Amino acid sequence: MFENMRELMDQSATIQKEARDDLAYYLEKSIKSNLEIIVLSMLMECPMCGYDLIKDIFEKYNVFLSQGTVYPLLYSLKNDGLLQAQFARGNTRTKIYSITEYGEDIVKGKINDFIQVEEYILDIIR
Amino acid sequence: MFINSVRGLDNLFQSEIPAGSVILITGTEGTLKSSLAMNLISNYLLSNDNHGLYVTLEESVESIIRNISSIGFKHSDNLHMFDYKDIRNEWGDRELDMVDLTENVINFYREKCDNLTIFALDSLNALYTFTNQANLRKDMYNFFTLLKDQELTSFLIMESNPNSLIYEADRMGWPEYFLSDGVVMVGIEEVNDRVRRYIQIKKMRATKHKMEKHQLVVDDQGISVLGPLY
Repeated sequence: MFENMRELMDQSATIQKEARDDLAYYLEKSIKSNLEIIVLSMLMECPMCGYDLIKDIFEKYNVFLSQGTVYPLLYSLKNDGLLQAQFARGNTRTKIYSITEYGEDIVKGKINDFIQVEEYILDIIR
Repeated sequence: MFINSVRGLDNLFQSEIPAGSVILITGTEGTLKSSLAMNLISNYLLSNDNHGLYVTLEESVESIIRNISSIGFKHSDNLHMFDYKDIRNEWGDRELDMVDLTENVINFYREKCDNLTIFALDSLNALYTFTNQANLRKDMYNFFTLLKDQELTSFLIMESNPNSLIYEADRMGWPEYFLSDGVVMVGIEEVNDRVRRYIQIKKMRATKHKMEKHQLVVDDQGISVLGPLY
């Protein structure tokens, strides 16, 4: 009896762990495929450097992104004119990224489009 | 065609370098390793609609462009350049897995550009510096496998150490020499009291090539390969 209980508890723990792993996997996949919009919305809220972006994404979503994923995206968005970079005050080793004047409306439009599409999908699958 | 990307390179090759080859460009300091790679890639990209990625671990992109712009370098818009200056400044070389990081940089540009077929890393020595030495062979094997799986024609720049007496013999045991499809050596040699640059194809799988050292010259038109050194 006791052994059966232990087996059931072990099975339950395994299923819960697998469910958590699945959730973490989908979350990470979703963050990566929507990274541009996540980064833009975070920078819209608060200008920051690549290090702080990675740290904030980890704190918010528990997903650690490689520097090799985030920095090329920042450079690409800067090349597209959506972001600008300037050194932090008194620190020439840290570049702070913010939305440009040109990029502001484009970024707001992108965020709105994203929200609408996500809500549309959620309405259908709920 | 790569063999038409540098003037006179067809003196050395009788057939084209196969797409997807991983090629080491090696030589001591100041032997035009980076300039040769950059000239090859940029001229190649100017002749088609492929994209290339040049990753530099130590020098900044600005510094590399400044150095090569004096030797007739024509920059292709399809050549994307990426340096690790900001990452290293902000992360201070700690917690950085350069092999994993470089894989992610490649994946980013792969997704961004439809036709990323060329990759260059400057330099492999710097990558080694940031790689856990205990896992070096495994990491390098995985890195070379990644480049081959992605069918990227890759140029890996590696500085050789002129002071190491055992270097010539020792290096054949290093993983990059047997993992690579090609080894191109560049150097400087004194011939009849005249100092000359040279290029030598030590190895190039599936390609007919000459083995002799050929003279390498550089002027404001770029890099050219002339006849045999001797």
